[in-house]
Amino acid sequence: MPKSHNNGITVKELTKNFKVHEREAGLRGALHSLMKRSFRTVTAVDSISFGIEPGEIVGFLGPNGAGKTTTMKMLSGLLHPSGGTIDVGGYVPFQQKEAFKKRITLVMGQKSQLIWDIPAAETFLINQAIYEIPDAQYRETVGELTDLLDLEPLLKKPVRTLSLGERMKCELAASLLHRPEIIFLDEPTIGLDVNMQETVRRFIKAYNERFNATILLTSHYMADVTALCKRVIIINHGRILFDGDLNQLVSTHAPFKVAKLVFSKQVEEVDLDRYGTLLHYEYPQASIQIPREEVSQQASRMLADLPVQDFTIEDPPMEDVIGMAFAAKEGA
Amino acid sequence: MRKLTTLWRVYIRWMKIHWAILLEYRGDTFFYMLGGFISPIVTLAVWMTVSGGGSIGSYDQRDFILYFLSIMFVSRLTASWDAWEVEVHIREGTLSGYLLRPSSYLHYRIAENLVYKLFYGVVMVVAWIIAWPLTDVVRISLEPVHVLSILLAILLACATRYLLYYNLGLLGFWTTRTSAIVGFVEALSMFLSGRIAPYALLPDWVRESQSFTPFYWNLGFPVDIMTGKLTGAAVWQGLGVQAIWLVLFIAAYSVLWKQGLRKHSAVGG
Ligand SMILES: Nc1ncnc2c1ncn2[C@@H]1O[C@H](COP(=O)(O)OP(=O)(O)OP(=O)(O)O)[C@@H](O)[C@H]1O
Ligand SMILES: [Mg+2]
Repeated sequence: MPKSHNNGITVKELTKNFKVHEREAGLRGALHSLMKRSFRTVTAVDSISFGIEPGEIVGFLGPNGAGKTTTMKMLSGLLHPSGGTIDVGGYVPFQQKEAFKKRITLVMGQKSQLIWDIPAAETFLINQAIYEIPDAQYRETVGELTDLLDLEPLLKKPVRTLSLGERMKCELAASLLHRPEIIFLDEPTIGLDVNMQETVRRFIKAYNERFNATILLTSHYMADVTALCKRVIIINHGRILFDGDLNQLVSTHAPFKVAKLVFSKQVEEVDLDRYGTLLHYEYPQASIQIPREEVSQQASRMLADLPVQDFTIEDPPMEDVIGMAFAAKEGA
Repeated sequence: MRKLTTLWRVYIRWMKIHWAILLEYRGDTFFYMLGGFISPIVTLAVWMTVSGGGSIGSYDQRDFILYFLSIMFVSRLTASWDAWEVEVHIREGTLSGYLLRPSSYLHYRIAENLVYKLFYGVVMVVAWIIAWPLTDVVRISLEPVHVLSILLAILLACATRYLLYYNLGLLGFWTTRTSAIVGFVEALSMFLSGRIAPYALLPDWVRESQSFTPFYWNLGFPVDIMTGKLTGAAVWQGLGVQAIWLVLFIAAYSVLWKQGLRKHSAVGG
């Protein structure tokens, strides 16, 4: 397969079933399972199809247990699909060809390829050898990553002594040394503080622009998604609920914003109801849901009428938007 | 050619890493090595008492001492803890990090094994050399063909025993009860490998089983060559049997690995 082959992804009717061994708790359960093992099939991914263009960043969203990680594991060749087909950059992932592995990476926020007892720099070196990265390119890439992610003080410390966020940065760097063209990021910002999340986001964006890499990203943080993804795919119970433009998703399913206020004086609840739907009020804080098209008008009214000490307008949390998209789908 | 160069670099890197880890945990390594010596010493003491200074069968005092020294030597060199490591990597999902990279997990494991083998090997050969002028018990024949056959037998035993445990670890793809299975195999091996007594002193039915299990070939056989109890054609035939076991285990490895990956559930994340 020529290296110039496109970096797109095509998934057709992809399915993954897990067979789980069920055991009741307690002694009776243990005895019972000795005699007769009962299995249950869990369909983690249920016949999903989608395509991703080269160079696209797509957000892969859904509640816990939706099937995001399972899908990513199949896309990166770790899991054997129970059904359907996958084409990632011209390869069938599960065949685990070396040329395929050199072009992709999977970063899991909760799993590490770094070796625990020694400094991350050693993992970089082993990856240089494994991926056959020429010295000059290796030095250049490590230099860049070190600058972008501010790794300098971290690389010489044993990995086990790093903080969660520090480890994540090293993890990202180790996974990108070979300059993969197709990247699966499973919750890359999990457990990071706000600054660090921002750094990682900017870094992902820069990497995508520089190498025109195709990126599929999961996150439970709305900010990651809005900062990086034009397009999102929403999955729940292993099925795709929405695949399309993020703006369209938010405007159809969440046609409102949430105003958060902090008051300097007590206000009557009835006074707040006039500006929108009051979601929550407990002096001194209140949150009010306002239709998108009324936001600026209502905001200036509130600032004029009420003893406002602090004021912000936010998008509803991603979970809510997904929840509403889901509810709409169920209702339809 | 490029592939070989890459493999060489990968091994060197992994070995450096495992060496660093060995040093990090040198206390553990030391006690682990010491622990490995206790069982042969105890067994030897038992046999010395039982024989009461005389001989049993074809074994006199010197034979017993040399036998158990050689058991220590060979068993330490052929030791493998991969059944546990591989099983843990599968069960905890760490294996995924290795599967994602374009270099077999097996290389990573073998590199670790080599580091410990080199380390133990050097320590034990030095100890043997120091003992050489002090006692004639350790003075084995240094005839080139003899030394060569010892080396070959140990090499084949290392590879076979390594793959035996590695393959047991791979059962982790199917079951979470690997350690029970390993425990059973260990118990069998204790008796059938020659660890408790030289094969020549074991009951007939045990001796008759020797061709049908790999255990003798992984330990007793190299030891019998070292101690000079086996000579001539029997040595070369034995090396052939070892080679057959090795081929069998390689075949088992490729089947288990291939089928196992289909079962693999890459837990975590
Ligand atoms: N190895 C496994 N064996 C059995 N069931 C599994 C296995 N891995 C995942 N599952 C099940 O498959 C479903 C999907 O899991 P998955 O990890 O893909 O969810 P997710 O969308 O990544 O969720 P989260 O946001 O919590 O990370 C869950 O119900 C999970 O319990
Ligand atoms: Mg997940």
